[in-house]
Amino acid sequence: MTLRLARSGLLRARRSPLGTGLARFAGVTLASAVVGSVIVLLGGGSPVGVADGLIQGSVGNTSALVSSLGQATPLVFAALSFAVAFHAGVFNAGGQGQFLMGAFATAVVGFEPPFAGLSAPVHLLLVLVAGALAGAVWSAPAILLKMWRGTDEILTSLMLSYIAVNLNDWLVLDKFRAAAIQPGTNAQTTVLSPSASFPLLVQGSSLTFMAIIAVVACIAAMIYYRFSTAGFETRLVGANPRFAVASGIFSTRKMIMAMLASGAIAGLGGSAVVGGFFHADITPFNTSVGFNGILASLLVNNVPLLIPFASVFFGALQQGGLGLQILSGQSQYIADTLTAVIIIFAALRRQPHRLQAVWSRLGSRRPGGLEPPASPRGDASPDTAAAEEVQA
Amino acid sequence: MNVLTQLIASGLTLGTPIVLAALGGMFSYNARVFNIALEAFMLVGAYFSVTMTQSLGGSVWLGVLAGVLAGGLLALIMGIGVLSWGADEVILGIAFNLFALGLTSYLLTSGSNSGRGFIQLGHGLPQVELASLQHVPILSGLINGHDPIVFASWLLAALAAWIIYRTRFGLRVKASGESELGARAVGVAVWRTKMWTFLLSGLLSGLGGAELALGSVHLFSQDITAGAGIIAFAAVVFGGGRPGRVILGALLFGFAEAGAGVAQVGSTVPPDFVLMVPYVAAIVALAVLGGGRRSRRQGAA
Repeated sequence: MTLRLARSGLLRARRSPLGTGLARFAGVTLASAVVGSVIVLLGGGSPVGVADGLIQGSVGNTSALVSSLGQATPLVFAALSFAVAFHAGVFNAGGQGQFLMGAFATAVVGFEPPFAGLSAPVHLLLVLVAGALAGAVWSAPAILLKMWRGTDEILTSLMLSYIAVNLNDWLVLDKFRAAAIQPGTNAQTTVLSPSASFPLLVQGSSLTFMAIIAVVACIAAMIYYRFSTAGFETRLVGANPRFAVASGIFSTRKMIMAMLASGAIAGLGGSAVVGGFFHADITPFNTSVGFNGILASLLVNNVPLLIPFASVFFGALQQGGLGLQILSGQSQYIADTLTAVIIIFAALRRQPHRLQAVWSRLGSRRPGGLEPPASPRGDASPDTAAAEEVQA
Repeated sequence: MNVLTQLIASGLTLGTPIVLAALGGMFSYNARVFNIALEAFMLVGAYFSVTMTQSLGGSVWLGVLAGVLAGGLLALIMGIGVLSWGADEVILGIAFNLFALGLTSYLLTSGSNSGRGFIQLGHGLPQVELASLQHVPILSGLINGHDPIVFASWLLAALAAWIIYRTRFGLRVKASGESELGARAVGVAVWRTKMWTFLLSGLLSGLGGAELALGSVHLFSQDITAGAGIIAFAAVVFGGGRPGRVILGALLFGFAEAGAGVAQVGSTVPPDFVLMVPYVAAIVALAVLGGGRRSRRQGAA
């Protein structure tokens, strides 16, 4: 997996000139806009109206902008969660489940009697610890089964997410249900007690201090992976576990620790959502922050320092969707759709040879002579693709 | 109806969509494509089978055809992304799953359908009811109350096994999976072969989605598959791409949920736990019985 990703260029720092990067960005944006417009037309809406609504809802005024940052906060955690595991060679596809469990633990510790009487800083700390712990616990089966039995962690973590959805449903509906604040809304638990409510950065918004913690966590991850011996060893495990073992690194332990850290970070994302938005655990938890975090991380090649930027982008998109729904009554799910479309285009790594031939025939400055000869079927084996990237 | 008959009837209803999608995934798996997007193909299949039934004048079979084609189309697009544009199949698969969820949710909640959250049809696929079998214990569970797609899935399962084991195409698929360069050296059109496996996985998953939506509930609701495609993929990995084991796995997970459902009736166990059962069963099966002979990693190295 990791090897293949390395080949496909996802792990490698691509030394492409800025121009190529910008062209790529423009291409992805344009293609996503076209596909998005087609989808809006299919749904009977007007693309221009939807685009306008998305922009107004996300960055149209100060309060929208603040809300966009609020939406971005849990995404940063979810994205960082994916990146942390990914650099250790573990594909944590189950951030959604860890996120949900973190949200539940946060809510429960936030109002249950033994904790509810504590002083504010202690209680808040406990709430965050609970969120992180629950996330880590939910990530453990996937990695332990991978280590003991070789079970693929992508599948197990993904399936654990679906189990978490049902578990959360049961816990909220049957065990911890409280009267909803507004009738007709989702079922929810008791609201966090005042000592556990998250300090706000902007009064009356959803932007809590978790935004700062999120950025700090990204910086910490960067420092760990780039400047510490342990982080270097972890990356080595991710690049080639057998080589790492041969160099005297406990690959198994590194991978388990990375996955647990990943789960804990995803759990903190759950805390951020509970603290910033619902102030309780709800069901159905109608958000795919855990999954969108994977996409946000992939958008920036899992580079921790860039994750906040990708998250703000996707968070703004989410907020734009909400604004669209509230202001003009159109479906908010266009935001989720666009997020996925952007990643689909961003995941494309090399151009088919036929298209390259078309470009060079159109007189582009692409040096055609350096290309390997196109195979008769127009496809490339991984090896020719790799060779191509080396030449590029 | 006795318990065993009930279990068989319910297990077939729950298991058939999974079996169909797993058959599709089996083709990809043999070409060593880690096709996690079965969920996406199922979801669009379910959505378009219901909406097309609605808009094409109520013909369920046209709806089924639309669902199958929608799944196939999405799979072709993904195939082009993976095979021609060099995208990683796991990443693209996750993105496609979210895309299908976003797209169907968007279309479901915009335009004329806004505000309802689901589309209910007046009728679905016709169901076989043989009065003469009504009191035959096990056979009535196998036959009665099921729609033609359930029976078609048995034929398709046999057909898929035959294709993989006994035809030139099946050999080419496996050759492309074993060694791409080796396959090309003996003249197999690897790109085309892998594209066919994508198409087959999309068509069969689309059929599975159509069965899910039109078979017994006759409606589409947001995220109606809720991970059925992932379960199907787990069955594929569990079976190691071998048709018999894949089908067995898919039925096992379907019957696990059916069994839990039958056991839950009259007990105090909440229904949420019944919904968890196929996932737990899949994780346990993968962990205890292993995920087939070949893992993806060996292929990727």
